[in-house]
Amino acid sequence: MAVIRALFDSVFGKIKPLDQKIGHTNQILHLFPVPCGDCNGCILEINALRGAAFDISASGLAFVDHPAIANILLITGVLTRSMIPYLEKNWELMPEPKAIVTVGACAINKNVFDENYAVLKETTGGEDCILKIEGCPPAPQQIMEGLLGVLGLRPQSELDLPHPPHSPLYEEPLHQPSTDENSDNSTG
Amino acid sequence: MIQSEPPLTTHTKAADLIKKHKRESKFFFRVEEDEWREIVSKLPLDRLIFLAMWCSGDDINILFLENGFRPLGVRVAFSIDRYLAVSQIRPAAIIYERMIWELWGKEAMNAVDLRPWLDRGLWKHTWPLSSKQAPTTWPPEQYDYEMPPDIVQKGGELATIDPSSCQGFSPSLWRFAMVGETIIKAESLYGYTHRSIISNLLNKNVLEVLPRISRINAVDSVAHQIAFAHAIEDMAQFMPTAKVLRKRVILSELSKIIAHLLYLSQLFRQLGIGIIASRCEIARELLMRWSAHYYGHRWLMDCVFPGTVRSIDEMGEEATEKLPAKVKYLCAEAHKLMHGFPGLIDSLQDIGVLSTEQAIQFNIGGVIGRASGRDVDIRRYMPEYRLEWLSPRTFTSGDVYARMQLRFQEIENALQIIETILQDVEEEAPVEDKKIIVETLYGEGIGVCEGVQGDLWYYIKVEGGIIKDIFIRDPAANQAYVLQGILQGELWENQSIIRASFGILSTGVDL
Repeated sequence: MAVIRALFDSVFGKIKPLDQKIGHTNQILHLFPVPCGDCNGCILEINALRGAAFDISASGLAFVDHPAIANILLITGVLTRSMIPYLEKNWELMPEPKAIVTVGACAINKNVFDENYAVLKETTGGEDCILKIEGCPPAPQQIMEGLLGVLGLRPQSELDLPHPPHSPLYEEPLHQPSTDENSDNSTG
Repeated sequence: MIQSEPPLTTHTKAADLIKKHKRESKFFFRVEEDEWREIVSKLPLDRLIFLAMWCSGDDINILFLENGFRPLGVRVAFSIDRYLAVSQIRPAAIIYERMIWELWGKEAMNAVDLRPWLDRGLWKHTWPLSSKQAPTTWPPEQYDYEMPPDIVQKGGELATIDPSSCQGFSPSLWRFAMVGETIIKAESLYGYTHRSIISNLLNKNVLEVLPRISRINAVDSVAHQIAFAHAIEDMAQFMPTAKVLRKRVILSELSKIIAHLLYLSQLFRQLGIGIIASRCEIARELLMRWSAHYYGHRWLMDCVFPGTVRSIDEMGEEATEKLPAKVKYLCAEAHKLMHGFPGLIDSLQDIGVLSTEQAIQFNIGGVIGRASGRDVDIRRYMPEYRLEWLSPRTFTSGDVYARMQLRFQEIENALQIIETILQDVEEEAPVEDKKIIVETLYGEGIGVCEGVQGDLWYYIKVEGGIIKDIFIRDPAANQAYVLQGILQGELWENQSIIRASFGILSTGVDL
């Protein structure tokens, strides 16, 4: 992980945001999400970032439709045997520097699910994984915060990232979900 | 020549035949091999609805629905690992026969199709849920596509959508044979997200599996939790309090609104109409934050338990005014914009049509079934609901337009139901605090819930609180199968719109 992270930082980490206040950067992380054995929660939370509720266009994150132009492979869900060839294919297609980010408890430690004939014992990412975003599933804000951290941007709480409650469309006093609320409650 | 319809009788021939046999358990009648043949021969003239089929040990369990909602089970033990298929008479059984073959190694004779449904050739074992499992061969067997072999010679072409290029939809592989812009044949492969939910739940304590039940399908998590809770309550002969039932309705309807908004936003994104998609996306995000605030989870996971619900006292009836009014406004805005968008309605009509006959044959429920004129809504039979809450359906053309309109209608209906419950505060007489003691649970139960894709059924057999047999009948499985046929004859540019109108299916298929 250290080697990959160092290589990645050499390209992305040194580039400072143009404007720390509004979080603009001249470097863009190109993200290619691939769901494995997930319940759809994590992948849909990632996709929520593409929608109108979270404007990420100015934040240095961009989703791409092909791995050949991606820097980050976002993986969700437990590692299923049937998805391995596709994960490998996508990884091979990605240009250097490239890295894996695992999103959600299932991708990190299989969460509540067991190893079996269809699910591998190994967890996703291995040595190429530079970031693990916890949660079951993590909220879009958490995912954005984690990915912006890769770019060296300040955390969301300091940055005041584009956030729906500030939109005039919202009139309700929205609750800001804390980590506890969105993290895995399965043990309780 | 006019063909006479079978007489409308409550108890039909096959059902009577099944009931003549020894009742082995609460839902199942034990029949012999020869008797099963006789039952199958009577099915063409019968109105029994095929629900699900699975194996437990050497037995094959077949579950029908009598009168549309009452489960009637048949259990057959076959001397050899072959049984007489029902898919020729009940096409809804096709995928179950395919699953039984690949998971348990029991072959359906005279089956319509026995190609792998979930097994992509990379599993550790063949027939993994059978006692006769064996290591797989390498390299995996090539899947036999049902594609026209001479399509390229005739000037056509083949197109593939990779499971990793699903762009937000769960992984499934699509292959299309096309001539020009017209799809001649469409075929989908699932199983990429198969986590073997059944083996994850078997031989586990009922309480231990609750977090797993919540995480089978995030979009339909509440339906899974409620159906599981119903099955356990059915087994324990336990009726939750009215307060608990009311909370469950709120949770269920809330999750349906969130899911419909998701599917509508995906549909409008496919259509390239961001102005409507954005309304749906913001309304959905608003509701998810509301869910996180009042129920502790954006996806409403870990909210329903057998006999009770989480946060029973956290969300009081005073929350009426806290239901985000903006959601209603945004949904109405999206609906209005949809009607005013030039050419949109015309372009969505008559594409991706699912006929009523197909919906009946494949037992398609939910919005997709109702949009095709098959008015099946299991909420009518759920103790939580009142009949007057459910609005009649007015869009039955079976096309993308009808499905889209029905989703808007269901959102409006669900918001009304939630508001009605929150406002209709009844003084409840104090009830004796009863609980389900899991360790004392023995027997079997069936639970059902109307989820976003339709009626979701759970069968559970428990001994001393340990799950000994379980099967989940997810409505998405048959919807995924019929979707292949619907895409045939459609234009290539419409395929993504038609697929989006069905919602996300693969999580329900893969299980």
